[in-house]
Amino acid sequence: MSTEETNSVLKVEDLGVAYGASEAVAQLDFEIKRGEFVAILGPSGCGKSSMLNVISGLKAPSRGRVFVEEKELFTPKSKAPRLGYVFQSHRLLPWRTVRQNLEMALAPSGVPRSEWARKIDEILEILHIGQFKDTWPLRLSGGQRQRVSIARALVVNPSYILMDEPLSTLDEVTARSLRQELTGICQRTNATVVFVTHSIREAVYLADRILILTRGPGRVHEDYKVPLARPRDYDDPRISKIESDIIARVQAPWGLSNREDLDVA
Amino acid sequence: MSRIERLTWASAALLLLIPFWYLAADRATFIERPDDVLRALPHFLAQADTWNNIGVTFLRVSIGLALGIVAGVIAAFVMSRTQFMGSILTYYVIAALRTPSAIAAILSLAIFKGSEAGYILVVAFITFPYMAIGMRDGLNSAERELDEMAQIYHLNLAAQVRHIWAPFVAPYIFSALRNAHALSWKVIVVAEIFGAARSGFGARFEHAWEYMIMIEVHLWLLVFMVIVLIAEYGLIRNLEKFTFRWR
Repeated sequence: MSTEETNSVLKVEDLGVAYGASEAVAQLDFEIKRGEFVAILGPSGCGKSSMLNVISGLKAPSRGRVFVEEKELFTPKSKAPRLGYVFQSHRLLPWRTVRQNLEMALAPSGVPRSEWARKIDEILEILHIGQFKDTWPLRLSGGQRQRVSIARALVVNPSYILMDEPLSTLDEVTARSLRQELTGICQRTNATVVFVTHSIREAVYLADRILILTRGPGRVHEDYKVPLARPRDYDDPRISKIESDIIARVQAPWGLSNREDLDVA
Repeated sequence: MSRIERLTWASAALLLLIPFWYLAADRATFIERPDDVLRALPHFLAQADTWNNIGVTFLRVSIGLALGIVAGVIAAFVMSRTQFMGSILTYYVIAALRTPSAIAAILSLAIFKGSEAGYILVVAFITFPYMAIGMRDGLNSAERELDEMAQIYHLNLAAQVRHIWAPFVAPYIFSALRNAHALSWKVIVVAEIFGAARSGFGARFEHAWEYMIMIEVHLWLLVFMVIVLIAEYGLIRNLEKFTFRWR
């Protein structure tokens, strides 16, 4: 087994998802390596939700295979993947404190109970919300709740983290500050991230690679490697240039007559 | 409104009733004056028999209500999870909901021949549909999103019930519990009177009324109201406040 092979965290081969005669995802192939930050970009109706359901282990595909750390999912002997998920809305339990929300995720994760307190403190500190450990989620701001949601995803030692438009419900100022920190947090924790976004600029700013999907039924149109070193600046003119470049690339396959028609993910 | 303000207003509302009570005592034959009732109160409360009878009724209500809650929770789970069983059970629940308390009391006492089980089961029978309907509504409105989150983080059934389902349906349970609790006190008195019980609040009330000991009738009524209010404000509301401290 080569080093490159052992680094594979998520591998999708010829993935297809159909609902009766209607195909949501067709022939999806990609691989994500350990520590990579991969953004997924696609037009509305490209099968993003179906794909996320499959790679999160919630729904078996109609066709194809999914491997997590080289172990195939959806076979009789396979276990559900250990992953973190940051949803569009935080999905925290309002009747549990921040610490209890994290403990709830930790309990089935196999992390020994004796390590919970240390782990929780460590993750909350990384996300700058240590002082809210014993606070109810309803007492937190939208940005703080989403930080807790990210903490919950990180604390379980996940193989990979799925982030489904996690910043889209936040106001621009909060989203900007969290976006700025997100890459640093992922680098510090060596997290492997699959990040779905509707913002091309956000994808360029955050990701190492961008998987551009076609219109539904979705397949990978292009695996785009972002040619920028880190740290990056959200207002960097080079990001604007790459954004325009990507828009030009997707215009034809997404069937857009002009830039205003852009409606992604 | 602060706690003190609330208490002041509640006390004022109660004090406002006293003039009406005096007025009624002057005009009606069977109503005693508040000061006469108040004078008899210490002796009434000092009697062991008073507390024994209160205890008997309290026990019947508590066990009956607990059984009603358990039956209601099971019925709600079945109704919300199994379509076939749900449609069948719904008829039973609605029938139980619409059965007059007096009829339920007579039937139960006839079936159980006036035994202790009869008094307990009539409370359970009357309260269970309230719990079932309330909790079913709660389960049906539960957020699918949290269900998905529970699957992602591999929460087992016990953890899902503890962390998600129970807290989610808690407001519905409390709302149903309040109705069921109020009803259980009403129905137990009816059952004790109809069933010619030898002990319990209803039995003593019936005895006092039969022998026209009107002061005692008033005292039992007063004690009944105080117990129901203590149970509501001292127990249920505080439990509710503790459960929903996250709000």
